[in-house]
Parts: sequence; C-alpha cells; structure tokens
Amino acid sequence: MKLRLQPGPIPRALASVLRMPDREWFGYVLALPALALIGLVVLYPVAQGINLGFTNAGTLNPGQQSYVGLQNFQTLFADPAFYNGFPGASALVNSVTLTAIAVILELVLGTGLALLLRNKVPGMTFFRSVTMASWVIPVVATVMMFNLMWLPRYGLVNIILKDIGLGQDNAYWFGNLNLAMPAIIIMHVWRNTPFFAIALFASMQTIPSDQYEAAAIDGASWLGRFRHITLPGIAYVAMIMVIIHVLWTFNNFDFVYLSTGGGPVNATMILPVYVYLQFWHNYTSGYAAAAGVVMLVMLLVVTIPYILMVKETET
Amino acid sequence: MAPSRRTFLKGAGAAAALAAVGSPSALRRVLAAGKTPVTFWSVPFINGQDTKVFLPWFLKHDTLPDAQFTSDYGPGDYGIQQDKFLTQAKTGTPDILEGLWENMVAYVRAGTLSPLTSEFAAWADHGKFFPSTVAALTYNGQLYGVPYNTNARGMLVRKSILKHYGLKIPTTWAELLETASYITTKGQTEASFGPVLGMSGFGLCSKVSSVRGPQEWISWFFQLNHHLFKLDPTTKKWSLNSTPAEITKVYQLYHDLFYGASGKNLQAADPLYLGIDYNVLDEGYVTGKFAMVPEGPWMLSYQAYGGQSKYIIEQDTAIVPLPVAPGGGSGTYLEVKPLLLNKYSPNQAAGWEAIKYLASKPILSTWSTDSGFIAPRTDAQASDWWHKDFGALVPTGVALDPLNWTAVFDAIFKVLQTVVYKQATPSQAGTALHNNLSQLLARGVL
Repeated sequence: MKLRLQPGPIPRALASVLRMPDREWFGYVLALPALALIGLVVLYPVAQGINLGFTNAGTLNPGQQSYVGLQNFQTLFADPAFYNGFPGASALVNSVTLTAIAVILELVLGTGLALLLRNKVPGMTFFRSVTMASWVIPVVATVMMFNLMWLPRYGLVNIILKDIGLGQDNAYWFGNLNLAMPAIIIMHVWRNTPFFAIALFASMQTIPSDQYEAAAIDGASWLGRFRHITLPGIAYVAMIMVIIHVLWTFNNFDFVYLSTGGGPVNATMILPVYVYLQFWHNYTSGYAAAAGVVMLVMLLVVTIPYILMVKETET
Repeated sequence: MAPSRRTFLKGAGAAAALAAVGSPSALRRVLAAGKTPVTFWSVPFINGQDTKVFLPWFLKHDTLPDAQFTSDYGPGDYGIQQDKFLTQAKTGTPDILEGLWENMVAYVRAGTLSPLTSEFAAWADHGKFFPSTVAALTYNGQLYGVPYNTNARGMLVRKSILKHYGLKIPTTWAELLETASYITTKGQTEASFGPVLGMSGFGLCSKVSSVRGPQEWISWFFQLNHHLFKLDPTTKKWSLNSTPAEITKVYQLYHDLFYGASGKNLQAADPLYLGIDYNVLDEGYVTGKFAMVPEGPWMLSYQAYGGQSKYIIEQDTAIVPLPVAPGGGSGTYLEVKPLLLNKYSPNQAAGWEAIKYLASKPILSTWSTDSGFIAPRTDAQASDWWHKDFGALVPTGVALDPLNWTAVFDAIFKVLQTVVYKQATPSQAGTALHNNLSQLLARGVL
C-alpha cells in the first residue's frame, strides 16, 4: 500500500495564499502598513506584558530579570488585597462589583434619560446639548468637584443631607469605609449616563413612528409600547454600550486613584490601581504584569459576546 | 486655498520646535539667545505651591549666560513625576528636576541620576550649604543632588482659638489629646469663633497614597527613635532598628487622636475628617476648620489668597514644635528637596550650570522669602518671624536614612489605615509594620 502524506497547516496556508488572485494580493499589501502598525503598538506591548508576568522583573533593576514560572500568579491569588480578602477589600471583587453596579445603573438611568430627551417640549434642544457636559469635563476636575461636595459639614451633599434630616449621616464620603465605593460608583454613573442616553436616544430615533401609531390604534399602553417596540429597537445599541462600558469601567484607573487611592483600607481597591501600586510603589513590575494578565483574560471573556455580535451583523 | 508644501513644512517645523521648548515665548527667547535649552521639571512651578510670587519674578530674571530654561515644567504631582522620570529618563528629558528626597534613592537605584560629588566640591559656594542637608543627599558616598529647599515639620496653632478657651499650647502627646479634644467637643456646638460650626481640635492626613501623611507619621516616630533602619558597617546591609512595641506607640497616638485614649471618650481629631489628604488639611486650616495642624513653611503661600487665609496665616498663627512623645525627645521629619541631574541628559554641562543657578544665593533668597521655605544656604536666610520660627525647628529635624522610602512610606500608611479605621489594634499594627518592613528588606526592595 502506498502511504500518502497530508500537508501540514502551514504548507496548506501558504498554498492558499499563492493561489490568490492578484486583486486579493493587492488588498493584503495595502493593509500591511496598518497591520504592522497595530502589531507594533498593540500586539508587541501585550506580548511583552504577558512575558513580563512570568518574570521577577523590578522597576529599579532594569535588565536583571529571570523567569519564575507561575510564581507571580500563585502569590497574586494568595494576596488578600487582590483576591479573597474580607468583603469590600479585594481588588478583584471590588472591580467586578463596581463594574456591575455602575453599568446597570448607567443603562437604566440612560434609558430613562433617552426617553425624556425624545419628548418634544420647549428647551429640549438646549437640554440635549448640555447633556454631554459630564463627558466634556476632565476626570480630574470631576474628582475635585465631588471631593468638595462630599466634605463633611460644609460639602454640598452633606448640607443637603442635613437639611432633609439626615444630618447624622454627615461624613467625608471618600474617607468613609462604607461610603467610599458608593461615592466612586456615583461619579461613574454621573459621567457615563448621558453617553448611554445620547446613544440610546439616537437608536430610538431610528424606530419607525408608524409602529407606535399602529400599537396605539391597537390600544397598547405606554408600557406595552416600550416593552414591545422601544426595547427591541434599542437592544443592539444597548448591548454594545453595555459591553463598551464594562470594558471602560473595569479598566478605569483615574477616578479611584485620584479620589481615594484605593483606600480606605482597600475598600475601593480595584485591579488597575492594584497593578499601578505594585509597579510604582513596590517596584515589582513582573508581579504587576501578572495582575495585568489576569485582567486581560477577564476582559477577553467579556469581549467575546461583542465580537460575536459584530460578526453576526457582518454576516 | 490649500497650503503649499513649503508652507506646510514650515508649520510642521515650527510646531516641532514649539513642542520641544514648550511655548512661543520660550522658543523665541531660546532661539534669540543661541543658548542651550534646559528642561527643568518642577512640581511647584506647576501647582503654584511655593511659587505664586516667585515664579513671575523668576521668569523675568532668568539670566543664565549659556543655558535657557524651557517652559516644560513636567507633571504637577510628585507621584506622577516619579513614575514619568523612571520611565522616560533615558530619553534625555528632563535635563534637571527638583523632587522629593524619598524618590531620589529610587532614581539612583534605577541608574537615572548623574553623581554631582566632584562638581559640587569644585563649586565655590559649596561651603555655604548646611552640611546636614548635603549629607542627606549623599548615597553610597556620592552626592546626587543639590539642596534647594529644607524645612522641619512643626505645628501651626490658631492663637485666637486657644485664647478663647483659655488653653495653653500643648507640648506633649497627652496635652495635645486633652487640648485638641476640648476644642473638638466645644466646636460641635459653639460657633462663636471662626466661620464654621464643628471645628476639629487637630487635623492630619490619613488618605492612603498621601505624600504628606507618612511624613507626619515619621515625625512622631523620630521623637522615639531617629533611625528606623540601621546599616551593618561590615556587610553593608540595612536592617530594622526598631521594635513592634516602639512602632505601636505611634499607631497608638493616631488611634487616640481619633478615638480618645483608653477610658476617655475624647476626639482630638474629628473622625469625620478621616481619609483627607494635604489639600483638605491645608485649606481646612486657613478656612478655620482645624485649630492645630502639623505643617511646614509652605503654608505661608496661603497669605496670597487674601481675606481670612491671609489673616489666619499672618495674624493668628503660632509656629511651635510638634508635641513630644512620653519618654521621647526632640525629633521631626527634616525635608530636603534636591535639584537632580538626569544622567541621560545630552546637556550635562548646561544642566549643572542651571542647578548652580537655581541654588544660588539670589535665587534662593528670593524664592524662600516669597514662599516661606527655609533656604539650605547660610547666606540666604530670611529674617522675618515666619522663617525665624520655622528655622528654629530645623536643628531638631532628622534626615531619612538613605533607603528607598517610597516603599517604606507605602507600608507605613497601609498599616496606619487599619488603625484609624479600626480594622486592627495599634499593637497588631505595630507587629504588622515590623513584619512588612522586614519582608521588604529581605526582598531587596529597600
């Protein structure tokens, strides 16, 4: 019997490239500079970061590093500040909690705001314009503004709380164990809700009005119209917004670092701040990179539905 | 009309030159004078602290013969400055920088600073500097910075508040607890003085990652022991020079300030102000929210705001030593801010000239007089009451041992948080910090 060897995957790929018509070749050549640039500014640093996560590299000893296998990851999951600390003091749990609560609130409030923006009442054009103000204000200014509002006794929030009979709850929110994380969530929601609202409002504008007219003739209530026409109409955009904001919020560093630094007692410690502190305060760049790798894996899991959705749309 | 290629190239060239030196006026000055541009990263030049009056004067009197400062002053925050300098020093920018002493050792260990030992020795002015400030900037036998700003941490006291209640300025920890808690208690109900109901008798920084907070902590510690670490002369290795019990005493003070000594329900520092950083503390003092605060001479700059701030700083403040620990002695954090030369700067000679200029008598006389800090030169001392009173604290100042204090301060404050938020007892905290510092030493981080 004569034995026939099957070509491997690389020879098969090469053969398929060589069989390409000229037009396809030309297309790849045109895309090459962009792909090379992406490789340089995205793939190379990511690969370097992953590589660093398996070393004992230190910021103060550049060039003196060796591979330590999975040791960084073992240390990471044994550190209560990273994982499995007491409630409210673990970067992993805090990151997930902050992201989940903030994005859910942004979606709900953003949808409500979008419904309001759709109303044709006097002054609505102006209101729509100023809605995005929170996005225009720099993060550092936002943190300073909230810092002033949450100062004890003379901060605006505490003055209002006192005026409505909640004076006993007077506190410096960023410095309070129980209020620091809600304060961070409120800042995220304040900043991002208008973005949700504008995107969802734009999506609502694409729903044909005759659908609402037909539903009204059929006697559908406001809630019924919202449930059966509006929600399906904005679902796709809403899903994209949710995924984008999960990525942004999970990766967000500046809000927490500028306002609480991850304290008090790790109550607002999140993964990006944890990575930063390991890198710049403990000078353990290999260990910090390992924490970054864990973040990367978690975010890739979140990104999969987004990729699938985009693929589905393209097909 | 579309711009021609020549116009476009001219514009691009001008933009690149602008980016290199910072602003059109700076570019004009540098090009006109044919001088070497020197980039000087200076946090006070950006955040305005210490420079409100000085900077406009400095920009007018910038008279270096061969070098010219660009207007790129770097980041306006010491933490970010450290991160950026460690990352980008090899690009050659900045040429020189001022910074915190506690970051200098990290820079040296990362190999980013030029030693200045021989240059400083050859400088005719070298004998004018206080030896303690020069010694503080010496690491492994090499001088890595020229001091330009020094101060010892003291306590600012609102004279009118203490007079109102017939209280004396506290000189011991026990007196501080008594005096401050009396004011805090009265402040909850009385607003007969100051603008705000709810004055806290004492205020201090307790935000994690605060730059100022660990400096306050170490000031209290130095009253018990001037050296948290000791160097073995034979092995040249550092080890801890303190005990958990000694460290516990400082954590006990913080606990007692916020929650009262055992058996007494006294709050010297209002727990509502837990988690504040230096900005809230400084502004809180000049707006009447704290009666006593641990501070440095930079507070003089608040007189520039006028009104109540000016009145409190000029008319109603006494500068006194920090109250002393039981069984302790004099000792407080001696801050020495250095001018440093980037090893990778292509303009080493111009950088050194710029450092000498910044540390010269005319510059330091003007800068320290305007901003309140103590000049480290014997011939540049201001004679007003502010400098005199803060200057009197300098002999009690203790310089930090030459280690990587960024990591030490981080460890101190992480543990401090567990005390002030009642997650650990002072005794547990003392043991925890002792263990953490031992681990950092063993790992070679320090």
